[in-house]
Amino acid sequence: MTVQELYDSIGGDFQAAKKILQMDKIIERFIKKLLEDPSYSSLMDAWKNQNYKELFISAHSLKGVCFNLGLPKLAGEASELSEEFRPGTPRKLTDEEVAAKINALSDLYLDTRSKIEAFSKG
Amino acid sequence: MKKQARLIIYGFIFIVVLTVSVFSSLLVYMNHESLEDIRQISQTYLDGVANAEINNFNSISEIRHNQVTALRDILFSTDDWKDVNDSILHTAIFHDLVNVSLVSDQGEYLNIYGDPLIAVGNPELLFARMMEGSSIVMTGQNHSEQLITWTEPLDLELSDGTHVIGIISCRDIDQFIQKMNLESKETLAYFLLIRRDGSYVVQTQETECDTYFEKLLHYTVPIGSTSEEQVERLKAAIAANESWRTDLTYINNDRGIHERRSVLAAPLPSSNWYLVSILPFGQLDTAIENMFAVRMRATFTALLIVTLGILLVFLLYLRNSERQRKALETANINIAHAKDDADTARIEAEKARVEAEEANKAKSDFLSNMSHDIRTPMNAIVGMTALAVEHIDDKERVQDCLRKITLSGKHLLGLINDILDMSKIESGKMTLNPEVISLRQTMETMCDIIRPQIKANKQNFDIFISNILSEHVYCDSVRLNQVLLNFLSNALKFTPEGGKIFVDLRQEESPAGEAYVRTHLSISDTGMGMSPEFKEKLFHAFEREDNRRVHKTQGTGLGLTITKYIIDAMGGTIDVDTAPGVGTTFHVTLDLERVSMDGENMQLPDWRILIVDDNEELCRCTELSLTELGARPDWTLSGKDAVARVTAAEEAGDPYFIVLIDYKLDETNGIDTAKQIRTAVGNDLPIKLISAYDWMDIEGEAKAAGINGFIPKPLFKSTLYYELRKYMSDGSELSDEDKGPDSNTADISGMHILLAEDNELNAEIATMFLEENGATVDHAEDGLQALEKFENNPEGTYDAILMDLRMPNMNGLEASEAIRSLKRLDAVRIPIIAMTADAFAEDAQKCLEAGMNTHLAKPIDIEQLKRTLVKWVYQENVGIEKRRQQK
Repeated sequence: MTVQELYDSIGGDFQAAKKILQMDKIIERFIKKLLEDPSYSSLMDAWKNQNYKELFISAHSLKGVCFNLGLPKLAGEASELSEEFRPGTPRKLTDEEVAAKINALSDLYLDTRSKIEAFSKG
Repeated sequence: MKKQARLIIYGFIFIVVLTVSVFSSLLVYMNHESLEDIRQISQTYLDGVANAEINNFNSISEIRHNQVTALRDILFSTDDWKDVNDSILHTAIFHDLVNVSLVSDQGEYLNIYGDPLIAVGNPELLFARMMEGSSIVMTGQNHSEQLITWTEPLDLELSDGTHVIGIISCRDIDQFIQKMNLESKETLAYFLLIRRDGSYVVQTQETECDTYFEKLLHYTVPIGSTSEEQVERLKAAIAANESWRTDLTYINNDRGIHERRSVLAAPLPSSNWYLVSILPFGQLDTAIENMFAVRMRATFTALLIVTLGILLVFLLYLRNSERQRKALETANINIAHAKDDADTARIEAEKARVEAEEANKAKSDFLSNMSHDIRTPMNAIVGMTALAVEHIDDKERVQDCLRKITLSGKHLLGLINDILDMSKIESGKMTLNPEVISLRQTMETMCDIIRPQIKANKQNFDIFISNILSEHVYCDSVRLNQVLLNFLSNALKFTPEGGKIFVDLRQEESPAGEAYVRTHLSISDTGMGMSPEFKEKLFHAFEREDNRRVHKTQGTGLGLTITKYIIDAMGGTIDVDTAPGVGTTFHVTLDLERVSMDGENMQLPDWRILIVDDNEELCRCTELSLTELGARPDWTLSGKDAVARVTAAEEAGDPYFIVLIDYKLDETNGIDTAKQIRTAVGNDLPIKLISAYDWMDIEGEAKAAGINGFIPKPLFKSTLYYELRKYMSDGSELSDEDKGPDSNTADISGMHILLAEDNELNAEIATMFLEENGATVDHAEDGLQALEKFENNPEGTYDAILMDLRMPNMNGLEASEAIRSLKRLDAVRIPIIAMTADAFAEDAQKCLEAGMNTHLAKPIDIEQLKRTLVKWVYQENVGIEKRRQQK
């Protein structure tokens, strides 16, 4: 399985990743690093603890990481969450709606994650 | 309106006339009533006076009657005539009588005492009265005087047989006149005594004619009738033995009297007389007249006040109605205006609707064009990608595909950037971020950017700088570059091979004030030009000239709209001079705020410098700049002349210190001229090439021809200074590397960069890029750590800081502020470049406010990052060359 095929399977934008990271090897190196990135887990923790400030920072961070890795869908989900919890702006969504978004992001992330794990193993 | 005013004036006149009439009538009526009252009063008074006079007469008559009765009684008291005679004598003397006589039945007067009586006023009446047995008063006459007689009837037979029928006592009439007050001047009224035939009983001052009747005829004018009628009436009254009264005006011009009088004639009992009582109005008249005058004055004063009051009311009413009229007119005008406004608004709305429809249509067209434009590079990308996948093992093929994909990608990015810009403009979100910029750097950067394309298109390019009053100005450098590049990329696109592209920058004093400098920027080309029709629509959004031509040249058609918007936002103007097939000149005029730089005092030694350029203006401008720098420049337009001048100067013992030659001369090029100079004077004289072209392309040829170096256009004063000062220390040029890297190549090798990024992955990506390009990176995990690292390392450790904005503990903005406020030299000078995923202009503004130099959007574009680093590190940090050398 090539890294491009991985990207196709996880709905990533390989061209975007290539534009930023330029080489397949580098993309491969960094996409694996997503597994170590703490943004997702800290986001989930923040949500569990209702720590919205932390939630914003985690979502923002995840958005940046995903953009750099050429994962626009995941970046988009993270971006929506970060906008919702941006300090100094009023909340627009109900907790239920936020929960739905978190779940959507979670599903996408975990799916992506499992595929990357499979990819990195062989 | 006039009709109304006339109506009001007529109404006013009517009311005034009515008032005057009413008042006058009232006055006349009052006067009449007053006269009537006065008449009645005077009549009453006159009645009173007359009655008093009559009573007076009666009492006199009573006394006289008693006296005569006493005399008569004497006659009957005794038969002794002597005694009778004595008694009568005694009584007559006692009563102061003038005469006492008896009346016989024959009408004779028998004298008893005193002067004999000659005649009586009316003997027939006397006789008749005696016969009927009643007494009577009348006048009489003796030899010497007029008398008044009192006669009583009596029946006595005298001894001689004479039948006596009456006894008369006569008195002096004066006494009677006095007692009757007939001549008194002291009473208000006076009296006349007349007989029934009108004759006067007593003649006084008032008895002017023989009879009273005559006097009435001659001297009086009765009120309401004629004198004749009056006399007749009086006669009738006398005949009937009745009183008679009248009011008349007595006129006697001889006596100077003209007065109203009230007259009452009443019969006097026991006589044949009438008492005429006269009351002259005289003083009364005067009093009445005074009263009338007072009343008249009062009335007219009242009239005047009432009239004035009415006038005032009318005036007030007029004014009020005039006001109302005006208010009405104003209201009408307002209504008319409102109507006009409404019409205008309706028309405007209609216009706006049409415009909106047009804009909508333009947007639809634009969208379809854009779809096409976006699809084209997308197709290329998709197609090339597929091709590359197919030939994945053919390295060259894949490389070619990737190159084409890159190009298409870049084009696509450009399109999207334009659309984003446009949407920012349309939503009003585009803001300017003015900063201190150097026009020299701006122009140099621009030349660097377009030089490769000029070369590729085989076009001629030159840039002219003249009369620069302030090299440093406040301006949004990003937007200014966008403007310049937009014009230039248009020129590049539409100018054919061998065509010319010129940039001209000049300044003059600004009408906006001393703090400003008017900056003219012209970009000319000899390209295809534009039709006048298109020129009109040039700056409209979503318009492109002639679709057929657009197939060759690609773009969004938004460039000029964006440019126009930016220039408008900067308060500048754009003029376009164009003709199809001839070319286009865009002329931008901006009033930019000056920035006075306390930079070093730019001064060169008084070197003799020769400028060789076929453009006279450039020669003159350069000459001026060099003269200002303290050098002694000469210039020439031709290469041959240049050689001659250099030789002559050498021979004259005042050789040139340096020669500046333009790369392109008319008859020959600069390199040939340099060769000739070298042949003529040897290798000692430094020769520098001036050019707007890329030094790399001509470097080999130039160096072979003995040219020592290169001064890139544009030739700002500072450019010349920085290039020439290298010869100041020891006369020999420093190494070329000292210039600093060309920003086009964007070499960041040797830079030591502090990277503040909390996300490990992102940090790793950035670190990888920077290290791959020869920089060294120190990573800080948040703002606080970045601050500590900066603070704990000696000055000059880092060349730049890349700062993420969103970080725990201390965010990028706070960290930047903290670093800037540190008390050390590099705290204010080190470039801090923000990296953020929030790519809004407001964020950029916040970054600048926090003391950061600029900001980059995530995901990181490595080329852009490199360019930005080079720009800020070399702009800010002049000492970098030395550190790089040390490293």
